[in-house]
Amino acid sequence: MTSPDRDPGLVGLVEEARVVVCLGPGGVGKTTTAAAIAVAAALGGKRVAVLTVDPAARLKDALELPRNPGKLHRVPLPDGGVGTLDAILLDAKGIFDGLVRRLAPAPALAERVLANPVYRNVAGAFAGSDAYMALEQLLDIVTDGDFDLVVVDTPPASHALELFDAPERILALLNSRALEYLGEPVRILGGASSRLARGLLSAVLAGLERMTGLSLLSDISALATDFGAVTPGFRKRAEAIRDLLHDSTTRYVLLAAPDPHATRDILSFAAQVDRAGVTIDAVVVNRVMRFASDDAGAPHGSSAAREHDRVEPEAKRRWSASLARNLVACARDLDILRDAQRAVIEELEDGLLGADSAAGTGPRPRWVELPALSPAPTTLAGIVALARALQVGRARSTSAA
Amino acid sequence: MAGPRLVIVTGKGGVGKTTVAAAVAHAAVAARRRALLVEVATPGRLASVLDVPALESTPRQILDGLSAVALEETSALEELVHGLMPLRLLSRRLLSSETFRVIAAAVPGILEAALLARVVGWLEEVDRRGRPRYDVVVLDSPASGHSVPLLATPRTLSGLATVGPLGSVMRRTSRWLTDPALTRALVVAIPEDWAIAEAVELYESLRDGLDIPVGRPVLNGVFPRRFSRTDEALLQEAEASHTVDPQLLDAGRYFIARRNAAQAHTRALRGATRSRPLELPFLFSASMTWEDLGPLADALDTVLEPA
Repeated sequence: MTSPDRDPGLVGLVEEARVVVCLGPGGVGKTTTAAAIAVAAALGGKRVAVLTVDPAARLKDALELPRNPGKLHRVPLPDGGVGTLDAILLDAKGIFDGLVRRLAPAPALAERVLANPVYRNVAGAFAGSDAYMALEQLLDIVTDGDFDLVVVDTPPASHALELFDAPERILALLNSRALEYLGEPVRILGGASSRLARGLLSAVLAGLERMTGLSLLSDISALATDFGAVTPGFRKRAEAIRDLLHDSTTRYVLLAAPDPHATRDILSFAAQVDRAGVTIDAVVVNRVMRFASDDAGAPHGSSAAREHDRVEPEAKRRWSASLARNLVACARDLDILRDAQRAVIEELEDGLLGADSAAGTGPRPRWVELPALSPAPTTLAGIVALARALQVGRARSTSAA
Repeated sequence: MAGPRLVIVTGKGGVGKTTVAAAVAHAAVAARRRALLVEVATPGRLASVLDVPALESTPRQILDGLSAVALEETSALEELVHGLMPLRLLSRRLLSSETFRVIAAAVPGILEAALLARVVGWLEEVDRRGRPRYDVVVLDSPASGHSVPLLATPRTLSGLATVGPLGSVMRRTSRWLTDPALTRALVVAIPEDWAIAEAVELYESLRDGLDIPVGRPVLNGVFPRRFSRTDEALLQEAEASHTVDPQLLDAGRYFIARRNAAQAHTRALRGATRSRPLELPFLFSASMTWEDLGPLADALDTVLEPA
């Protein structure tokens, strides 16, 4: 078992980064943590932008995010903050449309593509997922905005490759003959395109057309033709995104939760990130339950045995039998929780920091454990408190909360 | 006294959908109803609860009265295309092409339609005596972001001219999904602000947006109530007088706080949905086996009662 270097928070990481990407499976608190890193860096004097994906309504309120996504919006910082913070809500639908408009050689062609009934769905298939849209949006912010740091929250993905493969996938698709095939679907059947095969394929497509009410064949072929003109622009951007993901000033933070049922997911996610050629720079274990007795260094796992000794006779006389019993039961159950949590954290440490860790051969990631805050931060002050726990940036904001 | 034939378990990722789906199946088996558990969500979780290496793409009996299956897009799409194309050789060729996948993805709702068509197929499957093969089909649906589009498919497609075999499957699916005697959707949350907000939104989009019969919301992971008001006062007193081990008091305080939080969340969920949540106890064991699901199944048995 390893004993990890408990790095002092994320201070250094944020100091040297231009882009911080928060990664992890769904439900581990990526959005909130991304917001906290951004707030802290802004309070430390940086000009920061944070790109959030699908935040809970109350976090949206906390950041005073505007209703319309896809627009940068200045977040008022508490007194004492010398930097700036802009927040933007991912507009997955809008960003692809915007790209088609920008990359098309003529406005009429762009409108034709956007009006094509097949376009909306094909666009999704090309891009793979919201993950790709987030990267396109990130590239825009980094290129067009004037920021010291951009923090990105990523969409929930069950597989890390959804994110890192997105540029490769769109490049592969654009470089392949898939678009040509789309223009002439019968070519799917390749050399064996006998008359019978063609007939059957046409029948299938005709069936699909009837089912959907779309004139698929002509729509697909029109889209393929029009899209050809937009392709070079997409190719350039996909390359730029790939470069940005592997840039020396891009940092990756992996979010995890001490949930025994999610450990396997997190470790396999980390292994996928490693295979994508990306180094995890920090691990944040979120929602760690803290118990006051943790600090006392009391031995664990034996409360049940020590039982009633710990209730003074005087208190016991006035208590019902069930009260003492229930209190002991609580301590026993908490021991189980605490042990389970410790086992999960050790498993994560082994998997992410150990010699043959999923995180690969690079320098060991920083390690931060965040307490489960009750209630979860839903105000700017709450996010500032979380940021302090992360030790991101130098807290100049002591007057904030 | 037939209860619902189809139970759809939905909710935000991380709230325990798979556990709840397995517990509903557990309750069905306990009530001697043959159940089919269908996993659409994270592959592997259900298999570990059921203690089998992996689920297959065709239903497989796990226990007496319980079968399970992993429903994934590729095999569902295959079934669909095989159904449409008379020659297996040709349909296989078509399916193996990357371009076909792009085209398939281009057709709005085709993947979702294929998934739902499989589920309806299982619901309508009969044994040799002509009785349904499964009394209850329990669907562990994908996280809320994906389950609403999935369940909206029949409605999305019904506005369009639907002829042919798929059209009729979609109409049948729609009848299944909107009939309160046949279907019950469960929205699962845990006592956390983000999960409650998401659950309320999901509840409304299923009930009001899609006309899917929604059962009582499910609040998973509720800490037990172990102390009365009097007890709480006594504990506070003990804290002031230092007559009880602080570690014990700490544990008590923690339980009371978690219990109070859960109650506040129950109230919020009830207020927003106008339906009393089903509370599932927090399970303290780190592992989760079929036997561990017993207490959850007991709390969920009303899910299988007639509307």
